[in-house]
Amino acid sequence: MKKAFLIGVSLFWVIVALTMTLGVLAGRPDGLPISGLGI
Amino acid sequence: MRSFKGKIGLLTIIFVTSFPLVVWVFSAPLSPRFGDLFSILSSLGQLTAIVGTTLFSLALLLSARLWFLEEYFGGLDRMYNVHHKIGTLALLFLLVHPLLLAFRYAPTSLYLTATYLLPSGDWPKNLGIIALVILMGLLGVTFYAKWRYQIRKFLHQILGIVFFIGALHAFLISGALSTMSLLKWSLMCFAILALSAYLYRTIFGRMTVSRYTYKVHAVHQLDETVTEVVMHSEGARMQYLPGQFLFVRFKQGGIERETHPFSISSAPSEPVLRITAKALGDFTNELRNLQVGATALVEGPFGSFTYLYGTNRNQIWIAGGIGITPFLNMARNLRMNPQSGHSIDFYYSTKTAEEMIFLKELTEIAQVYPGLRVIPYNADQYGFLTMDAVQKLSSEIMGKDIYVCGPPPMMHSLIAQCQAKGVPKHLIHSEEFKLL
Repeated sequence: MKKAFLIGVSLFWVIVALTMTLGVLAGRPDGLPISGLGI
Repeated sequence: MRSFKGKIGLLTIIFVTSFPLVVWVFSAPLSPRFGDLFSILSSLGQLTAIVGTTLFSLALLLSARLWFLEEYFGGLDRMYNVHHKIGTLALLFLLVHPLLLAFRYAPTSLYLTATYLLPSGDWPKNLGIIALVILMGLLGVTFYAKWRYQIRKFLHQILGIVFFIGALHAFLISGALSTMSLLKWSLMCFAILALSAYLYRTIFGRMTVSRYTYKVHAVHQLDETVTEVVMHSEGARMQYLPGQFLFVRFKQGGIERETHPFSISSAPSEPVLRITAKALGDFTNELRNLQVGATALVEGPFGSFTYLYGTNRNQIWIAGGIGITPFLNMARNLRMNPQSGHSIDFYYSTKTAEEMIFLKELTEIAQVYPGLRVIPYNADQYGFLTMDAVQKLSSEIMGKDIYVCGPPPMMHSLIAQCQAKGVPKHLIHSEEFKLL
């Protein structure tokens, strides 16, 4: 359970941090759709 | 039959968790809810929230130590294990929930995705963010902090308040719950049950939970680290089976706010109640300083680790170190009931021969009860006890109930060895108590 907790929480914060970074890069409400990253 | 009864709890959890999902599925046509990526992520976001909230409710319910539930999980120790697992599972579902909802906006804008995850003027949503962040922090403390047990326990108990904040988020926010009344009411029922259990055990536990009142009769220092506390009843005596355990709180300065579990080491027919503990932490260290006459508030009995529930009268008992305490109770009960007809090979395993402080008493019991064969086994001389060694010394292990209690690595290893040798699961009995 400790391992599941560690993996889950770490992944969550990594995704949140990446999303925040990309959100800042997008700069405005209509900016940077995910397709713009080539995804 | 008992082994099936012990699985009813887990089956009920699966059923109860599935119920709101089924309600969600049948409450509206599915095709519009899975019509495009936005709808799919919204639906999955709702489903993870429903599963996470239901599991959190059940985890809280199981933490309330309700005596009538433990037999459906195979004992309180197993019920607490389920509590730990579904609590962690609840967190994982609740972590995925906001990410799915936020990534609905990713095809349009990552700016909107990012801002969705941040607090805003939407207070029902903010409550969800607050609850999730505190939940992560408190579970992190539970798993990793090396603080004093009582502090970690207090912080873990705050999870009930976190659940309340999360429930407010779920019921106030606009979404599936605001439109599906059966789903809303079923989740509301789970939440009310969970919060009632939390109030009963944690907030008002001192008043609502019934306890037996005992007085400390004597404190015996059996060796440098092991203490035996003998208590006598001040009123009604607790009735218990050999091998069961209790929770006790001593009303004496320094430790009076702490409640801890201990195996009962006295036989059920003895006029006094005895617990035997090794000094492994602050509380168990303090036991040696208990004053005769101090009040002990006892709750129990709990657990189903008793030879009386075994399928066979031919049994193997394996005690590792201080894991001998439930077996002391069982062996002392054999002395009181010499006609019980049990034939037992009792492996008393310790690191050194000097640690076998109960060997003399056990040998005396074996003289009174010839069906008991005591086999001392110290690791310094023979290495760690293995099931190969047990098989060699007991000639046969199949068709016998095997009881194991000791340090968790030893128990896990011996249980795995039993299973590798083909011993059916229902014949392997162990007790592993972990509160946090």
